[in-house]
Amino acid sequence: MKEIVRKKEKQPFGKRIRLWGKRLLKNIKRDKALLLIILPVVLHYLVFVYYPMYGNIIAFKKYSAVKGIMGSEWMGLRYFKQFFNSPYFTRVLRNTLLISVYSILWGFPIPILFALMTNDLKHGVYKRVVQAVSYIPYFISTVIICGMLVNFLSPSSGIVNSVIQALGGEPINFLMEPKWFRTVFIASGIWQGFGWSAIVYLAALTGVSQELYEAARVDGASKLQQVIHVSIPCILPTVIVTFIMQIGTLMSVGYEKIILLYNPVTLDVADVISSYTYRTGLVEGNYSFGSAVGLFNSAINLILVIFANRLSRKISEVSLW
Amino acid sequence: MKNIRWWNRLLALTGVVSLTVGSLAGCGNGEPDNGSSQSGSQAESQESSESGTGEAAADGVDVTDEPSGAEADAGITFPLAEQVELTIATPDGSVASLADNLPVWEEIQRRTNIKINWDVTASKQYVEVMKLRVGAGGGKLPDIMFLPNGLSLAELGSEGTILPLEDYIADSENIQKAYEQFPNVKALTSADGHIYSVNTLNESAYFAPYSFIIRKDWLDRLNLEVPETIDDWMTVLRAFRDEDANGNGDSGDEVPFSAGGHAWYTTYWANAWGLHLFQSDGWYPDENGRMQYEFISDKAKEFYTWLNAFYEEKLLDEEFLTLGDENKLYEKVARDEVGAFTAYPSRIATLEAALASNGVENAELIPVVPPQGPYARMTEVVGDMTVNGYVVTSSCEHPEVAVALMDYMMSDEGKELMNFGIEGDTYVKENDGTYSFTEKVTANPDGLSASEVLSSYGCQLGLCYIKSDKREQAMLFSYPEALQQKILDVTDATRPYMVAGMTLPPATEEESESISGLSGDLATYIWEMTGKFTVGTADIEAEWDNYVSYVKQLEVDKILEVKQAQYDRLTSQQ
Repeated sequence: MKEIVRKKEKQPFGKRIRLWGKRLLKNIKRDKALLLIILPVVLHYLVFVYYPMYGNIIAFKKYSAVKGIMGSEWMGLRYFKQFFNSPYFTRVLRNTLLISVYSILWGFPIPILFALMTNDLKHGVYKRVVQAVSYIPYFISTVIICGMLVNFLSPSSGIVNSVIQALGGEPINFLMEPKWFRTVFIASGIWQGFGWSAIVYLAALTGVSQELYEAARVDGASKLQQVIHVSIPCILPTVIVTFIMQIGTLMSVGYEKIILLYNPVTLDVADVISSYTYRTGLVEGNYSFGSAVGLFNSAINLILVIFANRLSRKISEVSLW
Repeated sequence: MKNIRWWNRLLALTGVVSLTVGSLAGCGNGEPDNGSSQSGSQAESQESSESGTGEAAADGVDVTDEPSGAEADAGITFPLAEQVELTIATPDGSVASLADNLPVWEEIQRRTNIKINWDVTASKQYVEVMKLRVGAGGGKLPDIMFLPNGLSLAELGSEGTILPLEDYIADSENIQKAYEQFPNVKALTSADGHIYSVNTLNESAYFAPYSFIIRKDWLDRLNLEVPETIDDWMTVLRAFRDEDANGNGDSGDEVPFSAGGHAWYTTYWANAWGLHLFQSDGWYPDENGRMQYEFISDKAKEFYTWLNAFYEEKLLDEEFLTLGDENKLYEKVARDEVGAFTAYPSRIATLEAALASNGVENAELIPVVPPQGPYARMTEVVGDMTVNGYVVTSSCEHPEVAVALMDYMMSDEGKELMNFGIEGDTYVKENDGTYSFTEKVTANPDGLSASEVLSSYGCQLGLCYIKSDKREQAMLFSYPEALQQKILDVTDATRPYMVAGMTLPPATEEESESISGLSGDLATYIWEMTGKFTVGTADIEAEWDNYVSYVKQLEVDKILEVKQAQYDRLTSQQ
């Protein structure tokens, strides 16, 4: 093998290129099916991810629909300043971070626990049913989820308040109480997503070799000890990678659900960066402002991911790159 | 081995598909919004005149150059000797698509010898789609397009994307005639003196306007009179709250007054304090012609104090902010839970039917004349002209024909076609000048409602027109006779109290630039505080001064300055 490589290096440049081209052609021919399969993915990224990035420059321009992206006037950092100087800047930043952090705090461990529990279900059909039921909410549209929330939490006719009243409590107008907003938002988010997020852990768990469990059992490990000493260490890399990715979305709390659930009385705790941008950017057609905020968010997210990745590499030697 | 490969391929494909679908879904976000006043009142005025179009205002504005077009226009007679093609971009009908050669539009094309190519988008997506299309620039725009919300006439005009129409309009007989009838069209003249759009006009805006609706059968059951003043209303609603008004044996399940999911709806009551919060967003001139922001006036403080008591007494639905939208309110009404609310009286028939199908016998809803309040007895009426209109783009090769077509739409012939459909098929013209619909419309064999039938013919779709109040009258047939009379009576009784909402001329590019971003922040704050004052999470006495000074901090004075300039332009034309 070494011999061959040395030989090739001795070839003149032109020949090397030709050989390289030949090899490339041969590879393409050999892997054409695989390449064909990856092609849509590459196209998707080029068209929907990389190409739109060019539009980001409107964050620095006064975008006019008429003049187009290139023709619009340069404004420098004006829209960034507008965002930082906005009377709502600190409020929306605080709310975004609080909702994100709490969501991760409560929402991150649950799919893992759920996956560990379902993994130990022995009955095949029962296991599949549990799994299917758990991720159905993920496929319901946000609008419908919010409609259901409004109905279930209604102080006069909602099922939640009926239960509270049956137990002798006072009905709570959940959606009108600022202190309940985050709880409702995050709890419903967990309900929506835990089954779906658990899939990746379940997949990791099926990859764990049965021999490890057997060995643990031979050593007299209880069920719980097997989970702690075999299952968890084995899926830890998956957990860490997922966690790093989640950190990367810290600044992006989607606006749809927020807008469907908030109202003037809960705005104090509910208004996040995206809903604020939605109102000032999209509804009023101020696209430059929206882009500036979006760019700012992405920058922070990127920094957070890099930071989390470093930290994880230091502590656990597992990292995204 | 083979098996595994097959699986891998399938998995990879699934991955691709789900990624693509995900990104597509991301692109198509709709716009559910309940955060800004703007959208509130716009939705409202849209409702009052459907998804309309517009009509331009040209009265006596000095003619700028481009006389060639004007001359050409004067010479146009329909049908054209030589066929001209025009592309029109407009929100599509929900019952039938304009692209399917609807009868009314077939007829219009036949009579004018203009071939229309429809460039339609579902009405809910229209604004987003068109904004992006215009925004993308380049390429050819449709000849005529309905201006989507959020694009500025002045900007598009100064860029040359759309054409000034006043020269053509000056010679358009029917449009001119319509202008005399609708003084509000003056607001269409931009600060640069140009008129860029022709908007749909609505004769029926003053026919059965938005009003309070109350359950007459509840009043009767409790031996109460129809309320005439704010105090009467309080008495009546307290009775609804305390007694078994719906007669189901439970005195606790009635909601005295409900509203559909936005603090904005509650400001309808502010009419009785002489405030123009509901339709004019609080921007209204005082008696000296100075624009005011009424949300921070002393009267507003009194109003909020009352509204807070109204809520504290549990007369206002505790779900008024969380209901989501009007339809949720109507569902609640149909469940026999609501005593009073606000809506267009035309809504009554549907609601009574819904109540009946829920087993509520003899449910009767009536529109109520606005109550006498501490400072006023009035109801703001808007919508005699749509907010946006149809513009002619620079891609249009025959602007004179485009305006002539709009002019035709405003003619008696166009008005008949757009309001009533095809003579002999959908309507008959009576000798006394009134119209009545044929059985095809009144008792449709396919079970469509009257307006659905007409819409499937292409009525009130596609281009600007004049919405006739004769159509409203002809439509009354669909209501039970008692309701017809009620609507006529209440319209008559309300007429003295109708006050026109403020319609200002478009802001100049400079003006909108100077206040860019301000009104959004202001609206957020106003609705937040309206909610908080109402519910009591902000104490009015303690917080009022902070509230006013914060509104000032949000540069309300700067916005007022612009509004004042717009208002001055409006009055100087009179």
